[in-house]
Amino acid sequence: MRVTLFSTCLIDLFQPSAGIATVELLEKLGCKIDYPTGQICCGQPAYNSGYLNEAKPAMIHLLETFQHAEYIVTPSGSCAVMLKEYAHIFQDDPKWSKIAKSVADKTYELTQFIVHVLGVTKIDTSLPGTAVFHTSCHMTRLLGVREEPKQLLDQVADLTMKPLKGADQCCGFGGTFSVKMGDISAEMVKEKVSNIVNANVDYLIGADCACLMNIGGRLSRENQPVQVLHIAEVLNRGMEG
Amino acid sequence: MNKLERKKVEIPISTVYRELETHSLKKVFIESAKLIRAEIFETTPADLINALNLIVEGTHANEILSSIQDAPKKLENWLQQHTTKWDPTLGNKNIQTAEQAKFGITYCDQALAESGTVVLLNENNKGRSVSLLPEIHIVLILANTIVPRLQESMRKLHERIKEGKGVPSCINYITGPSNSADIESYLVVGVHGPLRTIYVIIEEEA
Amino acid sequence: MSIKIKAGPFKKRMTAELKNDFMRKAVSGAQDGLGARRNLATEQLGEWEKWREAGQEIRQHTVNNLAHYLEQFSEQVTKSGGHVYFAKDDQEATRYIQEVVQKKNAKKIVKAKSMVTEEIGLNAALESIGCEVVETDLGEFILQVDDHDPPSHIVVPALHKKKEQIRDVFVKKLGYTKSADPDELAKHARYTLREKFLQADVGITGCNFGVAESGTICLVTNEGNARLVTTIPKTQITVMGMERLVPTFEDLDVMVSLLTRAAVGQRITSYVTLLTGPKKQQEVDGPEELHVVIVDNGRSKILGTDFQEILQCIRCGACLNVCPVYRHIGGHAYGSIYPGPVGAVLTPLLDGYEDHKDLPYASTLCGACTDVCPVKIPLHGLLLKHRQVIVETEGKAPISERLMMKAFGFGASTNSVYTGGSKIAAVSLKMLLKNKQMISNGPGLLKEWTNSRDFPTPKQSRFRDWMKDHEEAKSHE
Repeated sequence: MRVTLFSTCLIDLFQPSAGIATVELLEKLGCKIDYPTGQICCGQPAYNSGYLNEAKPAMIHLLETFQHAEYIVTPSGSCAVMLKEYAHIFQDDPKWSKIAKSVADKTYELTQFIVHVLGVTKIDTSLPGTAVFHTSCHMTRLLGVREEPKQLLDQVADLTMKPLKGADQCCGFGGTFSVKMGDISAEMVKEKVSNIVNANVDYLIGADCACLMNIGGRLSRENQPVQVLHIAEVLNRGMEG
Repeated sequence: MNKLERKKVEIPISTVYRELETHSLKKVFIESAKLIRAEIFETTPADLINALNLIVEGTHANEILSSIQDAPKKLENWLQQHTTKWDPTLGNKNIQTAEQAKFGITYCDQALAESGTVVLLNENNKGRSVSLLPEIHIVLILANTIVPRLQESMRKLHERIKEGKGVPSCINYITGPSNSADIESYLVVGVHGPLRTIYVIIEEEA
Repeated sequence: MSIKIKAGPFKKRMTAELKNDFMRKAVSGAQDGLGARRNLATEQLGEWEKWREAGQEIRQHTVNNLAHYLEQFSEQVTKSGGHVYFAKDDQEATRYIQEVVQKKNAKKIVKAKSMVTEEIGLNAALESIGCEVVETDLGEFILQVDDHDPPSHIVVPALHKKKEQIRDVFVKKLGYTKSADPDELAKHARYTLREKFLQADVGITGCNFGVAESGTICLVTNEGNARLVTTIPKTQITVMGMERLVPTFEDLDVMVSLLTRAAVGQRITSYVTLLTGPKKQQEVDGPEELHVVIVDNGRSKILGTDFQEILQCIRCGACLNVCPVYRHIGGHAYGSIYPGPVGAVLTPLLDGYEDHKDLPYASTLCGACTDVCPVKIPLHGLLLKHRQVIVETEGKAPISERLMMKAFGFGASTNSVYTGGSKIAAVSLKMLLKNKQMISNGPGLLKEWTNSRDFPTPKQSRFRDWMKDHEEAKSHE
């Protein structure tokens, strides 16, 4: 199966390991990866700050880049939501409405793609230890992907998933919110980290690099010995790891 | 006034109907009433007077206000003897009596199993104060007036309007004693309304 | 009080509230408690999603045909013997109510909890003509006695207060002598207010729902004060936001079922009271005269705009109870009597952007509010819409931010710029590192981040660089 990867700007700059794991994992699962190098950013930072006109060039650029893809897969729930949103943003645009709708329709978040398109619910991999999963807001509430990551993580050998208090609560990232309202954002991530620490686990696993960067940044500031992993990195470990 | 075209809204089905497949309306009503801190007495028409005597024991008739219309003879006699009756000819004096009363006794016109609610249609001058000002509200509930939920009650009101009958000036859905969680989310039972609510459920012996 | 409750910039208010540990503990505790109760209640009802859809349908239909239902409602109120007055703004509303009160020569007024009367500043208006106005909802009463402290939640107005603070206020203002036990405090309020009820000439209420087919006013309460307000005084004035209608009693069933569960996790509240007209002639208690004041105050301006869905709101407060921002800053920081997500959407619409332009940004757009709303208002979408208006129509965004976003638009659509820029970023961020993987003290905007958390440094090799090598390696296989 041919898969076009949207790696997202955060992975490109800050978390290449999650991107690498995504590619290797999809290849193991029998996919052939296309990587259009023209891809940059989905436009979300500007769009969510109210700068629709400034975000549009980035969006159109992505539409041009991805219009011929068969499946667009991205290891980020939030960016997947943004691509889906293009259908609404461009619905009255004579030039782009059709393309935007088709790009939206063929966009999948990584675990959603694995479970629903590839039909895979168990991947041979192991990770000794305990973990909590951070359910990102956009991925669960806006994309509706709730069960898929849990389903996949429950099958990981030697890994015990623990419940996380306040799991539904936002970690405080919120794009430009994290710097525009830095003080509130800080309190939110502190509460999230305190819940994670209280869960007494080895790993924090997530499916959105932005949230992981936020929570990871606070864990690091507090010198907490919890390792932050993108779900692709967990699923790509294989049995020997 | 012009009629507006409107698509019919599908009202979803509450789980109470599933519960009612295996339990009686009365049983479900009692379970709900327990949750909202109503005190419950089950009795029969024959035993009602005994139950009432037990509840108001030692209270003077001045301190028991009742507003029950078309009561069966035995109950009517008891009310005459043991309570002060809501008397429209006395006007505002009734409100004073209600304010001083320990008990207020009313009939309910309907009861809702899902929420443990009693429905008082305040028409024909039954008095709004009787269920409100006394310290303790006693409601007589005929088991056969219990319906599954708010829906049946509201539908009846809707039908009254459609038939051009109008609705009473005041309808009270009362669910247990008054309460408030306004101070540190701590539940205080008994704020402005009655401090206690007693449900007397009356059913013929099977 | 009007819709504005605190002056000064949002940032200042927010910073002050973040330091209020008691408030924050009270709010998070209430959120957790109410949330658990709401979840249980909605689960017990079953098919919650379908109930929400039904609620949305009813409210959308009503708002779409508001003129029709307002006409029907007022016709029915009049038919049942009540008076209806349409007030285009707060001034008209308060003037009419002052006139009614003066005509009755009334001095003593009791009030049940009502957000719209706060919005129009009714208490001050009545006090200015020499009336004593007593709030009778326990929470509102506490705030009133405490020198008109503003509400911080639309359902639980005194959520931010400690019981010890309440006791001190009661001691100082009401001659209270007992402990800070909520039961004792409430009992004192009961006896103090009973007197007020019995002496009152006029009772004022809000309106949870108006039923158009019958002209009925529906009040949903737990304490019983709204019943007292509409039982003892001889004149009743009900103030209603113009959008608060439902067509029929069958619709009212759905709305009440949604409201009590979403607001406080109850199957129904202790009292749901339906009032149709004044008391009948032969009846003893209840008002002889009923006035229904229907308030526009900016609502009709929202009709037909991108923000119309906010008029579906039934003021349940569920969005406050899940909002992670409200959780930490509480109600007062919003500077409006309508706080939380609904307040951040509604306040700029009713009171303009000028004083409230920060509110739409007080959200991570996490969508918890949208998810919980019992009538499916796309709250976070409306917050985003506000941001667009602020940036594009109102031109109220900071210039530095506008320039940054312009640069973003250019950089994120032009490959050569991105490629060069991302390399430069890597180098410049690297310079902030002190032999560490993470940046802990960043410049400019980054400081807002690094005040509380570390920022990762861009990796030497970007993902796209690895991918290029990977693809080349693959092609040789």
